[in-house]
Amino acid sequence: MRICMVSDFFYPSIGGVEEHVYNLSQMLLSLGHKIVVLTHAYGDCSGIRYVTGYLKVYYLPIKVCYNQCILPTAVCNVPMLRAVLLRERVEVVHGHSAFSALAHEALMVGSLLGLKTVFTDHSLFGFADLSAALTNNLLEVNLGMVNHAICVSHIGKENTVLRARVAKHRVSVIPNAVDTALFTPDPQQRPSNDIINIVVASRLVYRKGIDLLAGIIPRFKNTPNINFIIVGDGPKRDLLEEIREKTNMQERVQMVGAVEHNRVRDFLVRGHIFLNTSLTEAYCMAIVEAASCGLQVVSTSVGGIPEVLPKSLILLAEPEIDAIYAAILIAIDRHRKSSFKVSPSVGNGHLASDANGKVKRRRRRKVDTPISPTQLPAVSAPPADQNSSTEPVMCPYRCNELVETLYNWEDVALRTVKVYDRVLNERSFTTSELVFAVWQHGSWFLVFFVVAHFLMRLLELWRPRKHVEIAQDVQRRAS
Amino acid sequence: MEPKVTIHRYYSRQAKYEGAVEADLELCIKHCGGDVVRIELVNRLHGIQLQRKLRRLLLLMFLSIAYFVGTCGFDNRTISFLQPRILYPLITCASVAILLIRSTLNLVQAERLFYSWDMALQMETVRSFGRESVLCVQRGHIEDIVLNEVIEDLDVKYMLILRTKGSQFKKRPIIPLFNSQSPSIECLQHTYHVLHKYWLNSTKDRSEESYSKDKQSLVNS
Repeated sequence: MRICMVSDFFYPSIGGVEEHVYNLSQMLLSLGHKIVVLTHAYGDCSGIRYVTGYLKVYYLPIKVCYNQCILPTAVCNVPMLRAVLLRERVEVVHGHSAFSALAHEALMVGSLLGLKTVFTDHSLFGFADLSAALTNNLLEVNLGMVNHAICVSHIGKENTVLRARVAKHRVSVIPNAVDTALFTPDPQQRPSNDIINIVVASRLVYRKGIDLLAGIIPRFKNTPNINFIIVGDGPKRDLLEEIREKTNMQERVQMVGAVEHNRVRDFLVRGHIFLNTSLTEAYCMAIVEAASCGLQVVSTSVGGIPEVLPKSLILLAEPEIDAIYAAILIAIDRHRKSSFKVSPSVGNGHLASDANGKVKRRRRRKVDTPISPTQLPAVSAPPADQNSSTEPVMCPYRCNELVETLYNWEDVALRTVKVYDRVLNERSFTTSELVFAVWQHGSWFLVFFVVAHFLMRLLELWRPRKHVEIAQDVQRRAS
Repeated sequence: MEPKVTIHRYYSRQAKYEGAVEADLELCIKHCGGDVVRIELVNRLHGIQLQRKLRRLLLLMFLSIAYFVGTCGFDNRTISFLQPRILYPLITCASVAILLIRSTLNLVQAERLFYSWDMALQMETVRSFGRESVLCVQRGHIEDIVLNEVIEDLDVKYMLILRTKGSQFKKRPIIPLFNSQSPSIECLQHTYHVLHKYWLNSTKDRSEESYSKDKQSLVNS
């Protein structure tokens, strides 16, 4: 099967969509399929390149307009897209991300060429604001020309079905996955004393709930054994640095900045608790990676997050400062009760014991001891789950094994192949059907569709389909 | 020793798109000994293309003369070039004529490549009316010869590329070979295999000592 992945977001850019496209492509390659990736040029990264596993990537020479996206002209890139799809003998065009103008344009070209089209939506959208309304209408038009859609969570499917008015039987749910071999736990990296590190790894933007984080950090001002490690960069970084300065927590709040994805693990394994304060998420890869590294996950209960991890791996809270703070306290309390904590007195990880076989621990209540859940003030929000405080903390290595069974790219690839097989068995859309779909979902887009159609006709006269030079496949050499 | 000559015919990309039934490019390879090869890519339709271009140019001249004679020849008033009916057609005809002349002069008749492992790689392009351009890359400046895919003119095609090294080619690290006639992938693959065979399987000593010795001689000279 020959598949073309299309998105504005791909390496060297870093993000969830980029990682999804790359890992899915690699896994499909290992299953024996032919995969090419279509994206726009990133600076000097232009032209045709081969990445790991002989994955062919077309960095088309298209200018970026805004936020790593090209100008959504809908017709200007038709010749190049047509040339690539034909020379690579693509059977399925798989677009990624509703924000990607290149993906939408490629899906339209693929439909006009009679190819099968699949679209994966990675985000949740609202319904009220103007930008969401415009994006939803554009998505509605494009999904009308798509054979099948994939969402990363059931919440995402519900959202896509409602805003794009696509039939629910044409939408499948295939979650994201994580490379558990890359995100492995290492409890030795954690502090040997009683310090607890809370790790936050995300882009520092409003959508990630950084304002909530800015309200949570001051609450640990008087708790000297709680530290924060913040990985990521963005417009809200100044806010966090300001909070750090105001609360005099320079030594306890570490602002790492943007790091490469392969270095994120180095910071995750240093933490005990992973905090996610997103305001909207279709599927949060960061919490899965953190769980794979053995961290307790505390997250806001928004979007598709409740369906990502089981209760044994995550503490959910409402997107409010009090609720998140209470959940963090529960996580801290659970961590203190855990029995697999590395003892500072010995290096082999075993707890010291006396002659009678009893574990001796010094118990001393400090003035700055974190408040236990039972001592929370009445004004605080109740815990997200009544049984959260009594559940034991799972062993980090057991967490990794559990995540591996829940989410792995092989399973994602196999499920995606089922979608491909399904759309390949369907009949291709005719031009009249496409026109009717565009007219039904958005008559304003009909102008662009007609222009694209006639452009395809002209290209057929200028560069006939049957005379297009076929690309040579690069074969892997047997080692 | 008589050089071994092999001749093959291939299509150019333009001919493929036009659906031509006859191959328009002729690839002639002369194997001169173990380390020297001459490759010539001839445009078999150059004469026809040149005639077609000249006919268009003549037609344009005839039409423009007819127009200007019809517009100005029978008028007794003073003719000014700034009049719209004179100026705009004149600019249009001049522009089209320039484009036609430029495309006529840029027609490629043949491309010749001479490669010697001992000396250099020389690329010679023969255009219309015998105009030639020569590019010579010394042996020490040749990094590799690769067959790459490039995006050009809203299309994706294969291109035979000479990778260079050294300060002289800092601004031009890659040089396309046989690019003017847009040969098909089959022709490029054949050429690539021949060149790479000579590049890798020379009978001369290609060790570092030999290279250093030659480099020393260059310094002395």
